[in-house]
Amino acid sequence: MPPKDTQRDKGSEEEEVLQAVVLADSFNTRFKPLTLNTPRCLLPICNVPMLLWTFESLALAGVEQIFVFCNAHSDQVKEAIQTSRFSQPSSGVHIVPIVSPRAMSVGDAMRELDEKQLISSDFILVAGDVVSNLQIDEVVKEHKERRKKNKDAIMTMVVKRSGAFHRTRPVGDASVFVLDPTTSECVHYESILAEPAKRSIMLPREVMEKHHEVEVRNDLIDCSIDVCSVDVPVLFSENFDYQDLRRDFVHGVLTSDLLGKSIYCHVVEQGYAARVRDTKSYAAVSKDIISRWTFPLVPGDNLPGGDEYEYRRGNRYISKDNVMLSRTCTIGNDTIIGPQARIHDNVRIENSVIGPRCSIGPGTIIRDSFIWDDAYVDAGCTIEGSIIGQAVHIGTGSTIKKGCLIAEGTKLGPKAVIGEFKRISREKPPADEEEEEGEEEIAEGVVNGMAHAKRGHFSRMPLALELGEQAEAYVWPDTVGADVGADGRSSSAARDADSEDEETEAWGNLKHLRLGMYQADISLSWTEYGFDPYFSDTDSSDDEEESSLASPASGVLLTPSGDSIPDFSLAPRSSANFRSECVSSLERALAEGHTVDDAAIELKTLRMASNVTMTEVRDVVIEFVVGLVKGEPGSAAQKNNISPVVERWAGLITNLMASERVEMLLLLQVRFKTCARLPNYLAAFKFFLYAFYNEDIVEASSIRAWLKDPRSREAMGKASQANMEACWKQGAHTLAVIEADEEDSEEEDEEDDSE
Amino acid sequence: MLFPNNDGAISSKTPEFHAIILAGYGNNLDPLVDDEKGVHKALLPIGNQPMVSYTLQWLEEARVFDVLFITPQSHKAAIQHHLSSSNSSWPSLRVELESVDDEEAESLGAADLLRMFADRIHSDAVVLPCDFVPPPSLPLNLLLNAHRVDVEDPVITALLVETGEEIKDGPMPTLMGLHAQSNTLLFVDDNADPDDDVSLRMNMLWRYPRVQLTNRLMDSHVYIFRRTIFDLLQQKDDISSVREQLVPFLCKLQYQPRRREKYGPIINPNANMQELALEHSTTYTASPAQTQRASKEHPIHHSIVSTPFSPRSGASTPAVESVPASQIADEPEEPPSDHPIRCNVVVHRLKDGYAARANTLGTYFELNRQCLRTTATAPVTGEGIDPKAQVSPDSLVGASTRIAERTTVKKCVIGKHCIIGKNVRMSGSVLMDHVEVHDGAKIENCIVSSNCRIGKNASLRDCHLQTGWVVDDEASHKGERLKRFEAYEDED
Repeated sequence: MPPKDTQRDKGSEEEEVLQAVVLADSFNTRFKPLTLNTPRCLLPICNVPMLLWTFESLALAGVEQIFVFCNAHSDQVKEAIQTSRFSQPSSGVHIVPIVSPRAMSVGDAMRELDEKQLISSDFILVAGDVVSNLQIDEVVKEHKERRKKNKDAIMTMVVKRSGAFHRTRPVGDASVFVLDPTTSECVHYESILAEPAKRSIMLPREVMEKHHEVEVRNDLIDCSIDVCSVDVPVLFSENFDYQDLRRDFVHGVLTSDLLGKSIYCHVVEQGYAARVRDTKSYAAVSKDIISRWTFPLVPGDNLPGGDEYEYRRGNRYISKDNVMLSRTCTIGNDTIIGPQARIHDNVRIENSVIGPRCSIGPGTIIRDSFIWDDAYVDAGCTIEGSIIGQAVHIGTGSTIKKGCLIAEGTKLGPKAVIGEFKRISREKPPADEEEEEGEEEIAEGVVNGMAHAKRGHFSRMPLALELGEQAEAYVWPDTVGADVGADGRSSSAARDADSEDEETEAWGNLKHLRLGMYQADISLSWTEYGFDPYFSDTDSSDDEEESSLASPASGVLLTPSGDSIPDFSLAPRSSANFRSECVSSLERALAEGHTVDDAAIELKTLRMASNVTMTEVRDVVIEFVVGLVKGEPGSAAQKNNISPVVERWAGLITNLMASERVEMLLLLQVRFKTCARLPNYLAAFKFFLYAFYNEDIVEASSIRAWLKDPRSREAMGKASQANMEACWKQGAHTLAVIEADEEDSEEEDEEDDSE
Repeated sequence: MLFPNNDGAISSKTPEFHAIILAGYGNNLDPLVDDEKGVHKALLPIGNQPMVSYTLQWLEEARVFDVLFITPQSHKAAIQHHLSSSNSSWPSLRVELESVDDEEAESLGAADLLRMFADRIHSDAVVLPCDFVPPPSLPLNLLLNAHRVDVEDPVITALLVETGEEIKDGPMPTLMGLHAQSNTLLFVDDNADPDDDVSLRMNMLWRYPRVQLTNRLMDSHVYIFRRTIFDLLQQKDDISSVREQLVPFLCKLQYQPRRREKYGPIINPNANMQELALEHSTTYTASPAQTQRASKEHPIHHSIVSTPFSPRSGASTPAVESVPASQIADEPEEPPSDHPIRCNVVVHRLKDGYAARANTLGTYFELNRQCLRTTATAPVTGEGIDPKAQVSPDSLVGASTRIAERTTVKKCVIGKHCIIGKNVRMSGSVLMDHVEVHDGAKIENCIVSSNCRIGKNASLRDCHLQTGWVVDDEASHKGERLKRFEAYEDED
């Protein structure tokens, strides 16, 4: 239809067709339970499915062929592609869905891509939930130029300059890039998770020999847009253990001496690109779209999906399609009202997105929330800082506090009271979520072994939670313990460090949680004074990242604190099954007296089957062995019990640990630090250490190495820090016993640096 | 009481800056220095001037008049002599010469010396080595102004010098991290082990998200210290070296809240003057965080502020009450205080002129060459120079030096009272005073100390000669360090 499309077609046909690969699956479960029935890439952001935003961004860059990898709910994705405007022949874009139910990670998808031989030249690799208005074709051009000179420049990552505390740069999922400022070659990459908190990053010294000047950048947003050469999928096939694109692939390529490949970064100074990584960035990206950072892709203009909106003062967008607004309702700033929405009398909506065909009953107050399609909210409700899924029914007089995720089709109320940070769905939470619950129990009482106490997942907490009489809903177990309210910090102890490849766990959550607490006060005062939370950074820079250091405001968007949606990401429990199976296998081995070799083989098979890392296995084994020791914490009986247990399992531990002694000690330490409330129990650490030493599982040198390892003193969360340190001190003591000449342990540094 | 005398305040009595020149032994300049013969590092000539005079002139130009000159006891007399004899180049300097016992001086670091003489310094200090030779494009005032104008009131301003390509026998570069946007020195790699990875702290990267790491910069050992650094040195008596300990320590103070909490009050004793003044104002309501912080860090001020007019006792803001005190107290990291500690840095780029410390043979040699580059381009003539001798314009010849016929001199620095014979070829070399070069000798890329004698037709290349060394006739040396162990009989 528009002549320029066809022209472009012709123009580029002589050249190569620009291809893009969209990974529609995110391979994590941060949006659960919202993603139970809908794939994540089809969740609406500003009333448009995320996938369409991605397509639009790619079309803007002149991409002509798009391969969409889908895994979960692939039929829905296909259908969405079918019905979108991109499936029409005039769109100039050819979209090919590829269903790969086997793919469990980005790595698997890339291997499949290599197998299918779909890619002919350099292509754009992008996640299915990216919103961007960048000219990606410029980056492709730059990449190709570079490839001409240097065949080994296999990838260009698009990163955007912002501040360290930019709202679309989630604290739990950031990364540090070390770039050569002249060539913008990426010489080192390190991902920064909220937990375990990194104290420092380690830059290999060889880097400085090759590049005399490098820049360490902690102010870049990883846009998840990469321009890759055809070598990239091949490399994934060659290195079949690569899973994550960044943590495995980029890190692997940069640290490998053999590959000799290099990766470059394209630092975007202008324009917008962000990925919806979790619920927190979901909120952030929504706000960015509403504030028109994504121009020209904004509501009221070129909104993907084609709905038309009327753009009013104060970033209010009212659909032009049969919206019913009551005369007495108040629509605040930064709000989108979707098509055919019905807003009744005295409704107050601020800072929110109301989906198509929603109905908001009289007197309801909605703040900082996202109400998706067809939701029905009855009269007199209060909804703050939450995501309400499709066709949710909320009865009269309900209250939903901030941070809740209400999944599709749930019925609540009347008079439901939902506390902060609840996740509610219509379906029963799957079994592995229960496991999660059990695990927390264990963490509190490791002493008594593997007691899988299954607390009812339909737990009603009378004070915080009231679902209402006609509710059809299940409350999901809290990932952040219920005791958060009590002192706001305790449950980081309950999260152990199994997060080998999982993101943003309790500490990250917790931080946001506490942030939320603050923000309640702040945003209230804002409304009173009529401030616009987006652009007034007067208070926010002080309050928002109170816990961290303030950002020297270098970002385009100054750290606003309008994003009261915290990171609700669950601890994704693909490995939870594995854990329970492991434990039962070990129990069987114990009961039936298997040899350690048999047990080891069994564990390895399990590991292969569930595709988890070695660390996980080690963790389970350590946990199990520690749990086997019976006796009153700190008592002599327990002390005496340790050595027979360790003796019995020494072979297995040695077998599994291979050479990773230091790691094992770390795991042991972590295991101990979780029992925050049992001071006596901590004392057993040194006996374990000693027993391990006696059984030749560890040597003095590995203990020393462990003591030196920065991770052993790392702050794993504030509450547990003391325990980590206690363990560490005990370790130091034990080593001193084992070996008389214990080194000076840099007391000064210890004292000054521990935070 | 409320407004105690600020040490840093400019008054008629205390000068704005007090300069401290540290002169050491120059162990890396072996074999040029020879303490037994009274050849001291500070007095080694660069471009026919003792190197310390560059430093003194630099101070004179910047009008920093009060100078404390610290030198080992054994050097004192010679330096005293030099200071009094050539007073004309720095007429307004008030140089106080102090010495430390030789044995102590061997073991003491620069920070130890500063600690020792701390009671002599009552204002901010400019600490300089005796061996820094600044190019004309880098006046000291540039540095002083950088220190003066910075709104954040840096505790230290350091001068970093770009080294460019590595110079032979030059100093080993260290890895340094800068925040280029704010000229802040963030990181000095104090890890001596080259096998270890470089560890960059995350709290640094959160506070300064963009860190430029480079090993192309040298610490010039020229610093401007705030007066309170001396107090800090008294407190932390394990700091011995300025470059290796004090500067990294100050860098860490910038982003390690715990350390700052501990040492900040020493460095910023009057940090909360502004806060205090504000608290006495009737219209001021402290933010809860500030109030908390103030009470946490400076409990002493409670007694002062709880006057009837203070807002704390009167109309405290509701915000203060709504936030439980425990929450703020439990903050894992303290919010950046209103008086951050900042290490300012001035980077001198190579393209603006070569600057270096003459503390290694490589840089000493290079600085001499640089001196030639900046001297006049007119052909060198003098009463002692035979008209038939060829002396290239980029050479420097000292007074009373005689150069005989058919001798060519290219790119050389020749000191005073030298006698150079016929048919001598010299290029790219440094000759100090009283050197005798006999007929037909060839000298290329050498440093020849004073009182040396180079025999007939001798050939020297890439050699460094000790004071009073005698090269025999027809001898040939290449790439050697000519230094005597017991051969005293060679002397003439």
